Amino acid sequence: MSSTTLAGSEAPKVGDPFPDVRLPDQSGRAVDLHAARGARRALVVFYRSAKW
Amino acid sequence: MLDADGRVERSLAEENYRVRSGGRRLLTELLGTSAGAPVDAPSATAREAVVSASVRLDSPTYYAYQRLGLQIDLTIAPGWHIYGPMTPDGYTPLAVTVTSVPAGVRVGPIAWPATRPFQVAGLDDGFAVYDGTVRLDVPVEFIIQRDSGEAGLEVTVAFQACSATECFAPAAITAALAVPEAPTL
Repeated sequence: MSSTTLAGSEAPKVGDPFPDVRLPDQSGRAVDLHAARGARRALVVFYRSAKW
Repeated sequence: MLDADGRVERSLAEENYRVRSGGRRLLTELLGTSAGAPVDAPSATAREAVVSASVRLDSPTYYAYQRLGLQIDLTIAPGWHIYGPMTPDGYTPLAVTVTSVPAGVRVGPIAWPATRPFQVAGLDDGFAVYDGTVRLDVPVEFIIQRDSGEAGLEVTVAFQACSATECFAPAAITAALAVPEAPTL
């Protein structure tokens, strides 16, 4: 992740603001999570590994 | 799940790194309400006496080790009810089971909808029943190796239907679904 270092920190808890995240989409374009969702709710999914 | 202000509203952690929910199942778990099922998903209907069932998977295909949702809509004829999942001894509770070919599809914990109380005059037992229409959202885990091909599911809903004055013998509705395996990316 860029813009926020989360290494060594705990995951945000219920009620905490989710950190700023900017990551490339499937086309390589950088997407800022909060800018993309605007004022909408969002679902953030983490997969530990993508192949099994 | 984030709210409109970007704050964490709910957090859900999987217990097993391999078993993962499909998109609609994940929304059902997080929102607490059914996320529905696509029109091209495997489905079947069946009827037994005063109860009919419509069974639909919430995905047209499955991946190995994926958790999907079975949407089961029960319609109970007017004047009749079925017992809920918790019922006094001697009565048949509502239950859902799944068998599959290849073997490996299993039912997860079901968040049963609320029942209503029912009392029969002259009996000490109180009952918790369903009547009218009932939607069950049943998690099913496809613990199947990759490249197993189509999974054939047999979904069985066991119940006992009664009116205010009489009961049918315990019965079951069985519906068959054929679920294609999704091609791996």
